[in-house]
Amino acid sequence: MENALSGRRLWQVAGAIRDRLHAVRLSRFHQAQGQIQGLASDLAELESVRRRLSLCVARGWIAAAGSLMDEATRLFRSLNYTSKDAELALNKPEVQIPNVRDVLEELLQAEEEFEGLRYYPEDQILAVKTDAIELEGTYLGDFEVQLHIAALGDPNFRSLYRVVALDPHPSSRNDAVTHPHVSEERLCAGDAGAAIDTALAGGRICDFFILVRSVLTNYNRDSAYVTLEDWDGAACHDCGSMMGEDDTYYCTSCDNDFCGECSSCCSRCDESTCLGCLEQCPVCEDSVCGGCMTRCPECGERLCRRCREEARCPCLEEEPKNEEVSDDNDSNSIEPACPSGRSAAEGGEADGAGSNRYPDEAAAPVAAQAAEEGAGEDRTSVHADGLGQTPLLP
Amino acid sequence: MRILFINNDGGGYADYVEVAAGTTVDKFVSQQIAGGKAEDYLIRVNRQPVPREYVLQEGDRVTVTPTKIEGAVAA
Repeated sequence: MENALSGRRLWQVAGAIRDRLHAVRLSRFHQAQGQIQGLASDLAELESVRRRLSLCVARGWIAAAGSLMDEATRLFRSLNYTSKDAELALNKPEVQIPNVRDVLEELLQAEEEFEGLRYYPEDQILAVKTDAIELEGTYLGDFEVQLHIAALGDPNFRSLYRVVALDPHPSSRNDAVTHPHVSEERLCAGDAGAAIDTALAGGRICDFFILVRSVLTNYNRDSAYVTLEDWDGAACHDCGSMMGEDDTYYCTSCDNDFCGECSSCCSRCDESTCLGCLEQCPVCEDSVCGGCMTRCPECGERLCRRCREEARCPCLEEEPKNEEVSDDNDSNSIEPACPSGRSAAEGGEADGAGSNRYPDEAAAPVAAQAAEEGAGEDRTSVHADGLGQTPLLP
Repeated sequence: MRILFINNDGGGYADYVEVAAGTTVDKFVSQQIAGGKAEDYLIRVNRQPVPREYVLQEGDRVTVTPTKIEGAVAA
């Protein structure tokens, strides 16, 4: 339950903040203590190595001395890291912890700057409310900036402060984005990040709230979760309908956004493509993108890559037909020879199929094949003017 | 004379600085914020709004906070 801060409560909250900052400072000392302890342990171990090495040198124990040298090398490497960590921990800038009165004055100032300060005791949340925010004509409503006092200085706490929309006007593209720089109630502070951290570390609570407000009342179009231009949704490049984030498809061919009705995907590469950029392969009739269309190397017609790779262009299927027809016209009286020696007609009759087993179109290649397979010395050479007069096979 | 200056522009440091006697807050801010305009900042002296021509006193606490700061998308 929220409470407007009364005098007594104000003192209690100020005391809680001060205690929390004091605990944070103590934890930093504890961390530095740990770093120094690590360094001291390495030094103690190094001293042990030194004593044993002296003994080995004095007694001529070469092998043992060699092992100790390896151990010393490892220790020096470790010392390098631990000393740097200890130095970093010790050199962290010391922030002066304010006393309770200073924190109380911060809270009083925040109360004046924001026309009221709220406290949620069960969650230890201190909050202020901003005025209604409107950026470049887009109304976003008012926000509450909530500071988790218990999380001050805790790096493991997921969110030290939240920005809650009290009158949400989220973007159509993503309803978790209630402000161009707020997503899921988390503010991306951008240029204010360092100043916010320093203000909180020093207990300057009012400065923290003012800094957050300065980010909320400004618009950085170059780095927004959703730009104000797209706040009410982006329009489909084709039909112009407004699209939510889940119904927006990007065409990799023309680099525009389309709705689900105006887009599909390439049947070859599965890339999202608008209907305008998809082409139908005339061979397989699949819809493919421009990147997956190519040309037949023989006739130059457009077809998809798969049809080209599989040589499925119609021009390639028609070529054998043309050759067979022209040869057949020149050899009307020649019976095409079957590999078994029988003519095609005889073969067809023997089968009793009632159909010509070797249609005329196949006669020429069969005859040629039979000529090649015929006996060598008894072969009679065939000349064009001798066709029809000399049997092909003995 | 010495005053406490809290600059919430950039890193947000707080430090004591020496200023000449008779320095107004407007002049002080112009000196501290290079290229900045006073109207782009929320200026408080001892946590209170003061007029531009207010003359700084020994031990004053001056806070300067930008009113427009660019946010960003988390990386």
